[in-house]
Amino acid sequence: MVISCASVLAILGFLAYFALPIFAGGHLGEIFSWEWRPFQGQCGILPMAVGSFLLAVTAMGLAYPLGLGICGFAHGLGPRWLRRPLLGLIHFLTSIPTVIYGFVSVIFLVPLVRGIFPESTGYSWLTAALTLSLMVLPTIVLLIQAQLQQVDGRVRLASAALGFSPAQTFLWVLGPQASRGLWAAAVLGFSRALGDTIIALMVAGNAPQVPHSLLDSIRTLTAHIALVVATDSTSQAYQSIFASGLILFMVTTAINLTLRRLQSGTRPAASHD
Amino acid sequence: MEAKRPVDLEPSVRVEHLHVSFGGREVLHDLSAQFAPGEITVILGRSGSGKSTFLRALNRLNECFPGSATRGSVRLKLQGQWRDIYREALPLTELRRRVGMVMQTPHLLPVSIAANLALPLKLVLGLPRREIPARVAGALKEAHLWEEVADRLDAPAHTLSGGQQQRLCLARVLALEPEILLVDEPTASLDFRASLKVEELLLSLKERYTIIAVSHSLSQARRLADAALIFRDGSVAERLSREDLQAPDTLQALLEEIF
Ligand SMILES: Nc1ncnc2c1ncn2[C@@H]1O[C@H](COP(=O)(O)OP(=O)(O)OP(=O)(O)O)[C@@H](O)[C@H]1O
Ligand SMILES: [Mg+2]
Repeated sequence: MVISCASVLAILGFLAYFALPIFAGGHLGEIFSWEWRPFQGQCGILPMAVGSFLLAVTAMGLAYPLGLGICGFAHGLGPRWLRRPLLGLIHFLTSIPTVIYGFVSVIFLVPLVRGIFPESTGYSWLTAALTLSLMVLPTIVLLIQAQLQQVDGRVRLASAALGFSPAQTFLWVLGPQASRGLWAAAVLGFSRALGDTIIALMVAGNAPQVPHSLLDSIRTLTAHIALVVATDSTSQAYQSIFASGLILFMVTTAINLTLRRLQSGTRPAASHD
Repeated sequence: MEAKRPVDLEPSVRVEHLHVSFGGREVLHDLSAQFAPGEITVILGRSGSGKSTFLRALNRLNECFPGSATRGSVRLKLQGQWRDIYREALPLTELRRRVGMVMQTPHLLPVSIAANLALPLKLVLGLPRREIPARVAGALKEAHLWEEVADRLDAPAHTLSGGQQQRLCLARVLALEPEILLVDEPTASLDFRASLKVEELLLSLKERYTIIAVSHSLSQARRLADAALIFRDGSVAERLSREDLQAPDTLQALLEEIF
């Protein structure tokens, strides 16, 4: 506990120290602007912040309903024999390194998107969102699943004996019971999507712009940091990555705190067991 | 005391050659029995003799447990029509709504007292919202629970005492107006006075339902039963009439048999 607090504070201090010249040197307006042309001294990171946000939201928008559906399927909506293989597949997905998702996406999904939408290069917001949604899917499923499994077996039996259909049991009885798991899955899934670097870097195209359509290329804050660090750049560009890091760090910390509160908070009266 | 009953009632439940097993271990062996409407049949038998499993075979609830397998035929007269529940495509939800069951231990929904009754009324019967409160109150009164919970209908159901929970489960089933009522040790966690109340209730209900009740109390069986089945190792060892139950020498034999 003490160590984790100390390391969090150390990282915050480190980022703040390096980001400080931005605030002190009056470059704030330049960093928080919409243009990224480092050789003309324009180092705005707002397009990347927007890109990060949009990508995380769309990936979650795809993965969350799918994850919920999979959990429902495993808990009575689907045939019982399918439950094990389905959850086994999800477990398998967690063990795949992220870079493999990106790699497979470059080989299959990018050409596919390019084939369907010839005006796009295939390296796009859409491609990244699809890939990323697959990557966060196991997180979502396993969190909701863990909560559903805590629900007393007698509750299921009671619902069945009363004549509830499996769908009714899931929607009206199990779902409300798992509400904390549902929230935790949303929060943690979002934070994983936001924190992902590799997939965005590999398939989102990395153009520092605010996208106009799903087929446009985007750059996330995480990919931005990786790109700037990897390619020797101007000092102001370098400063911009500390600001990026600071934003990411603050957002993920906020998410973590929310999660803590969710986990320690008492359940609402309606979902007692 | 003995009320007049029509003799030789046409049965409403016919069970023939029923076998139930869990994970390959047979629990009920070649069990056959009949139950008549307007009567209470009490099932007696040692712990583990398959009484609960038998009740669950009548609403196909054993299927909720992994590794269960059922053979044989169970035919029920529902809405004047014979249904072979393991052969016909009678939807499970429909079957379970018509064959109400109160389980051995209270199986509550994790919601409020009122919602435990209201949710099934809404989902299973599709009752319009405005009709629900009256129905809930009616069922709670019928189960002698109303006075105790009227001022805290919105409290979580698990805050009730064990005996109150049991009566809540009974009320919940009555609210759904089934045709066949399965009650598994309905007075297991009730004191004597409360037990008598529930027995009174069951007696008053028997006109409307076919009631099959599991009991572990011989004196209760004598108060309730129009007929009794003695279970031994997963089949019916003996069937007793009301008169048999009252006779002192059968009583002695039974006591040695069961307990
Ligand atoms: N879900 C299940 N899985 C495996 N075995 C089961 C299951 N339910 C019951 N059994 C077994 O079936 C046998 C009969 O159980 P059952 O609950 O029907 O007995 P019972 O007569 O109701 O006993 P009691 O009076 O203790 O309630 C027992 O040996 C029990 O272990
Ligand atoms: Mg039992």
